[in-house]
Amino acid sequence: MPNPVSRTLRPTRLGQVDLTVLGLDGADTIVRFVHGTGRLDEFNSQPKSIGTGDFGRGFYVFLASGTHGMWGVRTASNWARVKAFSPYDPLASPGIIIYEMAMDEFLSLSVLLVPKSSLGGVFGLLHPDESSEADVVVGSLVRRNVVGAEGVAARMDYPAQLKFEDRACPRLREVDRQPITESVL
Amino acid sequence: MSDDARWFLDTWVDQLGHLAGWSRREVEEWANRSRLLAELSNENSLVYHRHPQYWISRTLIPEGLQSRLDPLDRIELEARVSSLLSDPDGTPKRPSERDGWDALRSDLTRLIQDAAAKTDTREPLVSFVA
Repeated sequence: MPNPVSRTLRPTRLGQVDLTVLGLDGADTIVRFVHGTGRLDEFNSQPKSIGTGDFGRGFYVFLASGTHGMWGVRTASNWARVKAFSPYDPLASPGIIIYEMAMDEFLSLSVLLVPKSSLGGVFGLLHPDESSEADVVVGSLVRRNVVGAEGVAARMDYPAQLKFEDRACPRLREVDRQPITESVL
Repeated sequence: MSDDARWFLDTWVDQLGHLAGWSRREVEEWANRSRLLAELSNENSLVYHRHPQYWISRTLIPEGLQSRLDPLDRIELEARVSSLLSDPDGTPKRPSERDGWDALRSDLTRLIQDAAAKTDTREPLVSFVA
């Protein structure tokens, strides 16, 4: 059934978006992103849109640039730790991967900005394995277990996550990867 | 334990009990051993970013098969198992009738067997179904 919320959302160019919404400074020439994984050893250098998640198939990253940069790194690291150790994974190798992209290129991408008020509806349409028409989807990291309620609740204290659709993944260039050990978390 | 944490644990008991034959005690021991119980005590834990069934999908895949699958195939299989355990709205599937659980168990077994058939090993898989 068509989702009434998602029908109201249309992709736009990132160049037309107020970058302060993402915590970015338009003067930057490079944008960095971070992805956390529970199995760094298996992660190919070329990101690919895989798996299922909040916005359907996607490659989930946080901004590692701008005012939310360290927040994104910390959240990606936490995600890697949780994925690796909860539940225990015999093949675990938690870590983060840093990607970058020229700001000009980033601004040329089409983006679907999902407001907190629309999160539930968009999840319903795109989960589990559909993709959007945009190059990038940006939305809140959410807490989804609310007993007896809608099932999706945006949390104000988490950074936005970005999903690069398959077509946009090749634009990401890996510049660093760092293993995470339990002792540092 | 918060209501949300209890809901997670009850969902695991329900699904792992019906699909893998685990007792509540076995599920609680698994959750404790795998740190999920500790994560649930933190209301800001990223465990809450996913529905409860997401966290048992890997456990329902035999370790021998996990290690044999290519990474992308394994991630896809985990996602398919998670989807199988979910209702269309993403919440945990909890069939009320016995036939419903039997059908779900059959679907899960078929999913695992199909994935195993794609690997090129002749080693037997250890069945996860009680």
